[in-house]
Amino acid sequence: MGGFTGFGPVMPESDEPVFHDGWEPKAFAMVLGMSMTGSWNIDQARRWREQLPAPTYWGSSYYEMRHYALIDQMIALGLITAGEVASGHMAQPPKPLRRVPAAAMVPGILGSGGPSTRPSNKPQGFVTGDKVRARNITPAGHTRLPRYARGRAGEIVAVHGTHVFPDSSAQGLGDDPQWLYTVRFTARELWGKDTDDAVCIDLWEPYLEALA
Amino acid sequence: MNGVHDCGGVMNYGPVRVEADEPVFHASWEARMFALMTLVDGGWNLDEDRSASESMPPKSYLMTSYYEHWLHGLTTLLQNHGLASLDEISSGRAMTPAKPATVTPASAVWSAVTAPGGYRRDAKAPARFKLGDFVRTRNIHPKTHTRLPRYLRGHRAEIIAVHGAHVFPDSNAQGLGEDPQWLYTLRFSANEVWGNDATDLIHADLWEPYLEAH
Repeated sequence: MGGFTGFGPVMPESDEPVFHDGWEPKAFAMVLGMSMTGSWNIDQARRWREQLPAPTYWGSSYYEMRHYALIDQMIALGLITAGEVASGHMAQPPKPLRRVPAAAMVPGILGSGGPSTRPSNKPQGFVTGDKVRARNITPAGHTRLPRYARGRAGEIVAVHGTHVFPDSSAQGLGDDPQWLYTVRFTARELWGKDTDDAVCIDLWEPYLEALA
Repeated sequence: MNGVHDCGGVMNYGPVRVEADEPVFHASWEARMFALMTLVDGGWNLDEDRSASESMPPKSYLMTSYYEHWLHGLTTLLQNHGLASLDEISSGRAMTPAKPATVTPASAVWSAVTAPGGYRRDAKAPARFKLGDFVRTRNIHPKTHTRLPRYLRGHRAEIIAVHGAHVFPDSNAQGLGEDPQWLYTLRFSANEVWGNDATDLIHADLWEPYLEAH
């Protein structure tokens, strides 16, 4: 939604609580708990959230969105059925999971985070200071290249090593590690505006081409 | 504005369901909505009307039908032009004396509905581009109404028709006058716009201020 207008003002909440209602920590725990079972990776989870029908996505709060996507994802993988969700009762024996996170394991799993750095012998295509252009790609699958940056010229301002490539990982096609860069785009290049603002975006090497 | 209405290139809306024997109106309120929007002359123009419909909150816009968009547009225009307050619209009762307005008598309705809306105007200056010229669309992001779709900004295209000067919606929608500008049909390749290998073409009618020489 970068560059979209018409959403109204952002209303910052003073003293914002971590959870606004009792169902939110439950939804959060279910989403995190299921992610710990190894049934999918973070890019696949993001892909499912992005596939929610547009009015659902734009009409839902943060935890609602994650909750709806979790249900869709579990139904698609055959872990639950729509009938079970509607009734609130299990109607078929549970499917085996790759890992069942016992309560005692949770702090350790949460503490270790989900690092996405991976070794790779791919040569580094760009260095800091290089001028690049983001490719004009329009993939039907998941991508982390925002629409508003496609076809725009920017400068490499940081090199982060090689990381899991979300476009591949989200499709279950493997980590396919790629070099990750921070690319700086001027607001003038992105929006045609006469300001000094700039937008810095972390982009993977397959999104970029050298600017001739 | 880069609003929810500008949905070219946005995915995930699901399939388009074509209705067999689609009626002109699905319910009688739709016909009333059409009549109200067509016949209420509150001093606004078509572009201002489009701009009002596009200002709907995105979620509402996506979950409502065509004539509900019109209803939102008319409700907004009636308030903006001081013809009715939200309280009056909600209650269905006038709370202040009516402002004078142009009334279309029943006998004039048919001609009002069927009259072609003319947007052709005399040109203020010669056309900057001609048939066969290659141009580039500007990368502009106005906060107000525009007819340059987001997905066609910053792209190269060929002029394949020149339509003369027409009312410029970007100005007219803001009540800043008609500011007539040359209107062209541009041909873009799908490859240019979406970066895929398709051989499809996209045609768009675009006004001269959207374009620069390539």
